[in-house]
Amino acid sequence: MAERIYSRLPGRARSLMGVSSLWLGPDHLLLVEGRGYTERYRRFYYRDIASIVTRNTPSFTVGIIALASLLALSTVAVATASVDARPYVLVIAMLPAALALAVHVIRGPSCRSEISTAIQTAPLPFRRWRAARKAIARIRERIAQAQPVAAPADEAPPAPAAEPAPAGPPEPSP
Amino acid sequence: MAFDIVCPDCFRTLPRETWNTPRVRCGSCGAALQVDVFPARFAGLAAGKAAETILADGEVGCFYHPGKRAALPCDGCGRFLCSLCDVELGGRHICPRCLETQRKKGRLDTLETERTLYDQIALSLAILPMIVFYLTVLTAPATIFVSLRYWKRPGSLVRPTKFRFVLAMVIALLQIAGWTAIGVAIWTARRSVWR
Repeated sequence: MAERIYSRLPGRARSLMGVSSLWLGPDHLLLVEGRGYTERYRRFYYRDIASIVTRNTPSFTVGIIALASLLALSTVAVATASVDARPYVLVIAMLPAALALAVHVIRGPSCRSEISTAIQTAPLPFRRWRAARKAIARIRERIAQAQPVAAPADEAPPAPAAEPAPAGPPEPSP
Repeated sequence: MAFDIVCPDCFRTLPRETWNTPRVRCGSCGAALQVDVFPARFAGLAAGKAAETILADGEVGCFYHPGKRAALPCDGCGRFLCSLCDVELGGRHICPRCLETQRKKGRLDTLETERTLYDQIALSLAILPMIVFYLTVLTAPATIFVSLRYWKRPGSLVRPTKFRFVLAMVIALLQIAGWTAIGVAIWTARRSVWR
């Protein structure tokens, strides 16, 4: 049996074309785009990854509004249904809506993510912040091993704010 | 050469204060962001190597560029290569011709950009026709043919397993066994009627 060299990262993106997922490889990140009976691969070598930008999306709020509305409608349907039909309406309409809302809330806020190298930017298959954070933490570990060189001082990202130096008279010049 | 990191929503440059901070907001559009920046952002693109010209007699030349000094042999075919022809891939140094040959033969996983999932095709061929079950008379042998024909073809790069092929063949064999049982039952029933 062939050796497994990739380990799967949390998060996946579904579209009409198929399902995308992200895998950790020995020296690169592999983006797998499923297209029915084929898979397309894109590789991002850890040494080349320059940034990952993740942003909030309104899908979570929109989903809550839509599913809560559906739940409210189904509650009205249950309340107005005859006593005989009530259990059926409850199972067919209200229960799936409540379940979908619960799953949506449990999965947490939604996001989109992009990975950048010096010459390309590509979307990552993260749709939820929780999955994105977990995956990025694991990617960061690999990148830290592959890119040990620190950024030059003039270009370095800002360090966390330190204690302000005590004010005093300037030192006398020799 | 360092490049700008921009907000994916408004495409404005994100200031350095927003980098590597747990959760920030874009100063322009207000979108909640997490910006992870790595040292490669400051490194820029590495310059390519240039081949050196042969200056002294007795120096070995590149197989593809006889006027250029050989730097190392190809790990695939052993031909001497100059720095220009040397392709480093997964810790190996190979020439462009070996690279092309191995890519065509599918021996270089790191260069593959697409794979056909024959195991998925076989499994679909076994399962989907069960909706209209009489189609399985044709699709069950076809499933076994596809499974055996493409058994050695590499499957998914991330799930290198033959499980789907095996499952497809088991389902197809069960379908064939079912049709055989139906055929035998019909034949036995007709035979008893004739008698």
